[in-house]
Amino acid sequence: MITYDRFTYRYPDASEPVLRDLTLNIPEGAFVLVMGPSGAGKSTFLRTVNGLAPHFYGGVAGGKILVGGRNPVERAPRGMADLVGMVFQDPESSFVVDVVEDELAFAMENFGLSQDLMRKRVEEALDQLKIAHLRRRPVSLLSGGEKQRVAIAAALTMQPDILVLDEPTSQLDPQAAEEVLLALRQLNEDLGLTVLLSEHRLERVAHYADYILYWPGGGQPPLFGEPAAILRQTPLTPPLITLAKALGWEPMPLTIKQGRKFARALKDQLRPAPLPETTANGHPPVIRVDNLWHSYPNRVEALRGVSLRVHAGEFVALMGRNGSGKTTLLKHLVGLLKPARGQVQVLGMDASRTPTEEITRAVAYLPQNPGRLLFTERVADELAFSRRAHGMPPDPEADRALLGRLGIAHLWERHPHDLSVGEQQRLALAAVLVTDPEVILLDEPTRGLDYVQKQELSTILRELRDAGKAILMATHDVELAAAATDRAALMAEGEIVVIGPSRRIMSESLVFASQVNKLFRDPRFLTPEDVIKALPERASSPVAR
Amino acid sequence: MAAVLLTRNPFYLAILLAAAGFLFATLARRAAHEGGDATKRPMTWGMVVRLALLLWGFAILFNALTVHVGERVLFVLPPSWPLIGGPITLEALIYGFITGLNFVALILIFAIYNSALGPQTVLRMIPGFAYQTGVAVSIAIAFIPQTLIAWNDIREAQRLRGHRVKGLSDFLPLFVSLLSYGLDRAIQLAESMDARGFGGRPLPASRRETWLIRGSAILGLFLLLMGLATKSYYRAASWPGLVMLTLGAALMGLSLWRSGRRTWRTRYRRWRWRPRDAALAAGSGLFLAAIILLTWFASQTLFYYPYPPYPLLPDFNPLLGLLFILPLLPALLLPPAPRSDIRDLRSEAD
Repeated sequence: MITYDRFTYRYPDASEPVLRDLTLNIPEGAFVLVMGPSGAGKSTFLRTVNGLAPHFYGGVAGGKILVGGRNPVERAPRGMADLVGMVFQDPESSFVVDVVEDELAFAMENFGLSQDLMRKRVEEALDQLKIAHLRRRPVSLLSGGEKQRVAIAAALTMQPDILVLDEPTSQLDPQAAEEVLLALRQLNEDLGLTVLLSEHRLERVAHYADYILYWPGGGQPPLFGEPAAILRQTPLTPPLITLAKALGWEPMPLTIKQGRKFARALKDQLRPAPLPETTANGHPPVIRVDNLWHSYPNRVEALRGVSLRVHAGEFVALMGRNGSGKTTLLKHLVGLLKPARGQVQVLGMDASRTPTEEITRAVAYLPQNPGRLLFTERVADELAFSRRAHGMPPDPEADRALLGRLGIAHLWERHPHDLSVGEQQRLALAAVLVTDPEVILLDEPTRGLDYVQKQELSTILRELRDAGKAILMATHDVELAAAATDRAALMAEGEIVVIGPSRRIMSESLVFASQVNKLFRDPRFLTPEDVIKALPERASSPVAR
Repeated sequence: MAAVLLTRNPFYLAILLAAAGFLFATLARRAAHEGGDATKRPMTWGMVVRLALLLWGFAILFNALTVHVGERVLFVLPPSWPLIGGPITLEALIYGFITGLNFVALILIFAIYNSALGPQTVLRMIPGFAYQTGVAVSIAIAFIPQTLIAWNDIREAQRLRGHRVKGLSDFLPLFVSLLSYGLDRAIQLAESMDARGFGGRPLPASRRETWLIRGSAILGLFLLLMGLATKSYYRAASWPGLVMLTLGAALMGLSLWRSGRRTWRTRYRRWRWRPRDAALAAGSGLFLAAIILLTWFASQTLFYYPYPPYPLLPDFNPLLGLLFILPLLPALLLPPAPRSDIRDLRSEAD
């Protein structure tokens, strides 16, 4: 179906090709997961399938490429649009028209199909993605998962043989991501559609894939093969695989169900540390929220009587569906939003009366899109900018040390917009940490990060927590919350439904349980480390190997 | 919109502005009744007013400081200062005020189009030959509210970093981020449109036809320009110019139509056209025609220029003022029931 033979592609300004001598053969009807660290060439590769690279991006392509019998380098994306459907990371910015039905018809209109045929195909696509009830809604008012399904339906109306998706679920909560992935799996099974999908959170997709295409980065050629074989060769693995590799489970389990067999056999040998009696650390609360209410101008109640305490030296996760009020709550803590009713106190300051600029000297806030936070020309200037804005003297030495702690000191002279997502994330974190704040608020900090970057972020945050900072993090990332936080709060419809020790919250929940917890169903096991630490001496020796 | 571009008379502008403001408020109220998520609505009244005031202030300041022409000198800045040094005149101040007023009216009208129709609806009404231009324009229109939202986001991000906007130079980081945001978005959209076959597949055309289309387009453009030149040069005998203008326009239209026929594209649905719409379109057409005729034959009435030798205060003709209230009509024509099909609302406010 898709054949690459010694294919090479170089971006216009680059000296080195991103894809070098790529030889690859993807069979028809395959579900292919494309993975690898950020910046390894996943997106570029996906864009060569329909010719966006080199046609849209410029640059030079060489070697042979055939997609469904056509050469995308010759045909250009326009000539491939009826064969390859493309879905992008952010559906919002790829919508051209504003009503769902019209958006679905857009590509067909460009191809001059008859009205009857368009009607029929729109109906089919609406049914395939189960969005018929949304047909007259404006796309801007849909939820994230709905938007992404509309984008997929819009690509399907051209009846392509191949569907290419570039991180389609990275902005979705676990429930919405599952909706989208299930729909894709079904299209792949029922219609025989070839699916190419890139994704960082492998725990969501690894079990759906027939093949994995792994880009190791650093100019290395990609590996292509069955999931189990590829996952054995990469450090980027979901917790289940990490554990399976550490314990030498064979054949390698790809699903929780397959893993449970090994877990049952192991469970009796494990000697886990007992659960701590209490998570209270004896420090005073630095965040006090009492009966907080907030409604937006359209009278939608975003927060309904939220009360919360976060203590110094404590790391708390805030979880819940998109639109459950997590971001709204965080914004109140720095005074970006004002409460309708209730009290918000941070470090003794009344957040509703103190200006944001003043609060943020002692409270770091990392918003959802870290790129928005960066606006200077040089990494070094970002930190200097924060210092100046807070009326602090410049201190390049301290800035360099801070960047060093976050592992990005070597980027000192670079332009912030040229950095990878993970690097931008850490730079933005550095930019709000220069003031040495006592409280750190994070909104979805793991978006677009691969496992290694996530691990690093988790380590940094735990160090900060141990240094006595209070951290409150809104996240969909169950694994990060399981690995790093002390307490977790679940929000729904503007209320905190339950709050308590992470171990308890995340093992009682269906949706918010971590992979390892699903294996053992025991609050003492949330992460692979929990299990490995609980191994008796003799069993742990093969792990070291 | 044409009206705004054609007049500089502050009285007429003010009337137009009031009418447009009323229309916007009516639409916003109806939108609120329709329900929907107001946090995601592209533009709110507050945002429009803020942007408008910002531009207005900028226009006044810029003009007053840089244009040193006029008789009524308010005060004198040291002439050694570059650009802004020299006499600051009342005339320049007024001119900036009027220019700003023009800006404000334009923004408001953009906002009305946005809340009433949505750029996509406009796009749908554009005839085939101008389709690509239409897409470009509609994306440009959609860009304004998106930029406003991004502006808010960026302002928020900056406050988070303790950045306070006190002077003009503090705005610089804002504009830089806004620009890079806009570019990012534009690239993403273009990429998505490209991947979805935007532009369609042109039907093969014979060489002769291609040349015919190009030839007639060029000739049409030439005639149009010649006509304009003749018209403004020989004021006494304007009919040759008029003939050339008509002929040129016809040729241009023909070539556009021919080239439009070559790109084969279809429409998913047809728009319903009801008597009410027809009345409205006729009304708007009449208004536009009246304004254009006015500028053509009596340009002095709409024209206003505060610098000498013209009088400082413009004239005002109440009858003409009445004409500028006309755009208010759609607000009155709207059915009184607040809950009606959202599509009615859209097709009406043309």
